[in-house]
Amino acid sequence: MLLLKLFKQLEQFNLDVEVQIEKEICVLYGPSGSGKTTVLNCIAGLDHPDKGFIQLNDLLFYPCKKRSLPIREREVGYLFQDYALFPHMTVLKNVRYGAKQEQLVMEILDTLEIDQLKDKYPHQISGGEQQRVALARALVTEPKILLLDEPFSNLDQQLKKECYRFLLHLYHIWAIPVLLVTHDYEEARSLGHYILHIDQGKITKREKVVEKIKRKDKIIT
Amino acid sequence: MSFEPLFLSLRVSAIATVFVFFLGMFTARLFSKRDFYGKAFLESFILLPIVLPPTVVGFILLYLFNRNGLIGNLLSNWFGIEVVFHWMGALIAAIVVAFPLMYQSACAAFTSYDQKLESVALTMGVSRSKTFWTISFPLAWPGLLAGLVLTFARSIGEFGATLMLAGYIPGRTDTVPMTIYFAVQSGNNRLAAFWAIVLIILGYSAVLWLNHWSKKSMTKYKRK
Repeated sequence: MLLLKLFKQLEQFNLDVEVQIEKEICVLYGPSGSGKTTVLNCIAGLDHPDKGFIQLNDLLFYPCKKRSLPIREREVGYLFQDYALFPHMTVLKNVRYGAKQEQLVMEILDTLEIDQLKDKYPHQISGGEQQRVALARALVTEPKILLLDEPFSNLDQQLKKECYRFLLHLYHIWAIPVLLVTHDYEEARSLGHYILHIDQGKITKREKVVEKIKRKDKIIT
Repeated sequence: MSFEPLFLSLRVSAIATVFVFFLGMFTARLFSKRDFYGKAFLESFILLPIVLPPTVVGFILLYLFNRNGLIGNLLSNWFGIEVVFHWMGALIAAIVVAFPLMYQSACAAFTSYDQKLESVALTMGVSRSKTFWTISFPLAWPGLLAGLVLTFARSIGEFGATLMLAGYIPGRTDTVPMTIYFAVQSGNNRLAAFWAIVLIILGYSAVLWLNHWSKKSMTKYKRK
């Protein structure tokens, strides 16, 4: 479970959010520049709050002895908006990079249907394939939480649907908390168990998505 | 005709290049990643040999490394090393004049790629050292390689500071640039021309190789 209470002074406004996520998909929905990515960065350790606390299960990310728990000790899977694949490594090397078990690498490559791309470089594959490689790379580290920063924003409608299907399928297998950031309300409703509306750094509405199972089946089948 | 000047020049520039490459790379890495008090002052000091005439650099080195100088005294008393009028003097001069070139190339190299990639590696539970050697270093390699070639070229062509610190002692401190100068002084233009052509070929080959190699290594993972 992720427990999060953040306060951070940003240029335009103050970020002040409180979130609790069980093993579910929680969507942070809001316009661009509302502080969504900053929340993810604070959880991953790429940014630091001014006040508050971040705790994942029994592990306190912030504050801790060294002010903030080092990034690499957080066991966070982070899928960046632009995927941030290592351009000098093949797909296989990208995915294998932080892997704890070789067997899992092959399984995830197979599950995400990217095993045939393993010898290609990131610039040689499509946006949808890059997205799946980035997701595979985040998952092989066996993270305790998955952070997804607008992962589908660069994809066309058909590809988006396909990727939703993959994400939900993986969520069922992995059952870890997922925090997804988007400014697409349809996407938020298609994927999230909960939608947290964020604007100017504040949570303005907490929405529980009903009939989740039905919609998920619709997407998968 | 002795080829000793060529061997000495190659030895001095090879050692200087290896030393400057690693020192310049790690200094640039530190300076490009961290802000600390006095950073601007230190950086200006590092770059000073670029703007100073080599003779001034040589004079400062001579002041520091002579037997009674601040560093020369320590080297002499503790290790029994004499730098002045020794090939080590040529090495120190090459290191000092080439260091800013490597430093500048490495600084540019470490900021030339998407800095987020290092953070990505860290989120995957990888150590800082592995992140450096597997992400930062290969992505910065084209710039580092340029610095390496510049360092070698600057070291092999170093003259002014070397003359001040190591002097010209045939068989001991006669690097190729020094041999050319003293050959012209003594009217031996054929010898000077020979060594000049050797230096031109060495420099041209280094630049040609650099261009070829960097294009080859970059096209592997970048869009044409």
